[in-house]
Amino acid sequence: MLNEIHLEALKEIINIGVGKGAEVLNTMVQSHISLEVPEVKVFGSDEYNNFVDHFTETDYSIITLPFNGELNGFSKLIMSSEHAAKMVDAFIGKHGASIEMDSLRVDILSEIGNIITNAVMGTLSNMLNLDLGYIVPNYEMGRKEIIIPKEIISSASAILYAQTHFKIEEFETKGNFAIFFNLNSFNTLVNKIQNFLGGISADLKL
Amino acid sequence: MGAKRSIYIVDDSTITRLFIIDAIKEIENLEITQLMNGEQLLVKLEELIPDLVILDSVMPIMDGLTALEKIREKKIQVPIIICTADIQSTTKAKAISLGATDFINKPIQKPIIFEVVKRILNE
Amino acid sequence: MIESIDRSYFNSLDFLPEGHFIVDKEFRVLYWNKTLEAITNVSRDEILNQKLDTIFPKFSQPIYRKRIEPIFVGGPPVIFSGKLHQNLFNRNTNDEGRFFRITISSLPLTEKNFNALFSIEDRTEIYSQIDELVSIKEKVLNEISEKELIHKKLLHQHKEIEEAFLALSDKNLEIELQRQQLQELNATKDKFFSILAHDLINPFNAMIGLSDLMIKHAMVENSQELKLYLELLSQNIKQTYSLLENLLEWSRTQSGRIQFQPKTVVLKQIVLDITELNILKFNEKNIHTDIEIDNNLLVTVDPNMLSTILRNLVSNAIKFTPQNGKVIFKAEVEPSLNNSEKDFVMVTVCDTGMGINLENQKKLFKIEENFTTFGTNNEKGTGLGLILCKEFVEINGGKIWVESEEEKGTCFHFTIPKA
Repeated sequence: MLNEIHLEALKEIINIGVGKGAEVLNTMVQSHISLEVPEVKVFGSDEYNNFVDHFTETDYSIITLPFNGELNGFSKLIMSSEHAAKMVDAFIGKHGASIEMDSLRVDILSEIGNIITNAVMGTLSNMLNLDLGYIVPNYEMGRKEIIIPKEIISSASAILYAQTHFKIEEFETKGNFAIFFNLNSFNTLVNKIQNFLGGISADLKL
Repeated sequence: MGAKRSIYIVDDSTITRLFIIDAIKEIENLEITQLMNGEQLLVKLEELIPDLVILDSVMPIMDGLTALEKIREKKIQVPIIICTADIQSTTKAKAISLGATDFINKPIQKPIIFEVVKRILNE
Repeated sequence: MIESIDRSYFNSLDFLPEGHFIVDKEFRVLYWNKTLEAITNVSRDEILNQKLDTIFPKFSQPIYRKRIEPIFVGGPPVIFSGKLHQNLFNRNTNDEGRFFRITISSLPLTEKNFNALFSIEDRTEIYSQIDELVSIKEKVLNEISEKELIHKKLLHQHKEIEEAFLALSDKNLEIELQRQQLQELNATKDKFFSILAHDLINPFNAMIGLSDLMIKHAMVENSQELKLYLELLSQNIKQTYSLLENLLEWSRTQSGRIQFQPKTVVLKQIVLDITELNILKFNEKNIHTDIEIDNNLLVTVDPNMLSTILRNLVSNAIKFTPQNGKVIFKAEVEPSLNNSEKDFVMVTVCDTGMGINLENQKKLFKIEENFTTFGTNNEKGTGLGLILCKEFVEINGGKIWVESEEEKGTCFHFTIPKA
């Protein structure tokens, strides 16, 4: 089953993916992006409220990239609407962030989200040799409940959730990258990670 | 034969440390110590200064570049390879300016890390 | 390659408002829809089977290659937003102003091989509408803040006007006060001159007449007329002197030259002194005096002023009391309402004289009211004495007032600090 080592492998892979995404963003905005150690955990639908309560802002702007195939889930760029607006303003060289998200801002935020989610999904599918299909990403804005809709939780009995913070130093804005896997995919995930670990499995006493 | 060369591998991910060890296992006479973060590295350096440090940058408690800075402030000259997933040019520039000996991107490619470690140990 | 793709499927893409094209992993263009011809001014014949970057060189840049490459192994869709990437499809690089959003999806060929489907959406119109809305909003906000500024200014001006108005009112009050003071001053001056005119000059007429008569009778032995004339002359001189004294003291209070020197004195003693001085006058009218004052009662007053007050009150009492009348002196301690303040002594001088009617009572202490009365023996008074009493009582911190009933008598009360 899914154990500490598997979670650690996932952490490391996501770390690498976010690092790649950060490098692309860095080139685009000419600012260093500070990264943190990713956090990975599994929780069930009964812990949903607990999970949602960790998000404390009023409004969130979210880019979601659903994926399916050997694994099912979502990749998300999650930012408070305030930070999202600041980020966009910084990208287009404006000062004095306004909270409104118009089409222009949505387009820009979608690209920023796309850069990160793609970097991670690309790394994930490369390193774990995954065959995945994708749906065109979408943008949403709303309260914290939209981060992961309750229906998704109830249809899957457990969610594997990995998240990492990043901060764009020059613009003083920050966000979260998160990836959710449905329980159905766990077996596949375990096998893939096993294969990935390959030679060092023995050392890890798996 | 020759004297044992000591290497500290500093990374919070067990898997990465094992990957690195696996990649350099062909090099002879190595004594490898595994550490989890910058703070542990500083403590261990008080005991013994190795021949090489392989150091991750993103770690809890104390990250790699902070540790690097402190080590050089103490005038400890040990060769340090920064091995990280944070491949931003700004990170690399900072690492070099803080006194890193070399910089390796993750994901680790065995031949590359093997070559770099061998080169530095032989210098 | 194109043959293996179902043409009819791709013909339908011609009818979509977005531009669509397909490239293989070498970036060779496999399909180019009609809308795209209009957007880019590049016809399908021109570009089909060409490498994309031969006509649109920006696509060979690493930043684009790096993001697009994963598509060819089945990676997730890639998005380029309008404002961040310009002139990707403009052959003429001076042709700015159009913004395209590009979405790139993987099209599966075989299990591991994919082509890239590019969808181009023109966002120029929407962005310019947004720019317009934003600038309208900024304009409105500016107008609002300008209006707020004007409003603030007006409020400020209003405040200034109010303050100026208040200052003016204060000034007016000042002027009014000064006017009143001037009026009082004038009344004082007038009184002074009227006293001079009547009460000082007139006696001299009498005295000159009398002295002439006296010269006539001077050589007559045992002349009764001479004695009479001398007595009258003496009386006139004394009255005039008393008047002069009062006048002098009063004019000194007006010029501020009287010095206030309070001392602790025995009240009864001062009263006794004054009654002593007037003993002849009391006897003339057979007026009986009563002193109901405690022997040990001490007061803190300027003794000269107290003497003047009593002298004038006694003089009035004598003047206006008929034969066989009574003059009574009383003193009562009035404890103060607050324990911290000093106690006062109320001194009363009562007579059984002709009294003062209410109307005249009101005029007593006022200098503008020219109030000359004749006493019971036709003694004349200028009313100046009471004015002087009021001044002196007030300098010592007290009050003076009168109670009187016509035909019955008059009581003057005044307060002075207890020691």
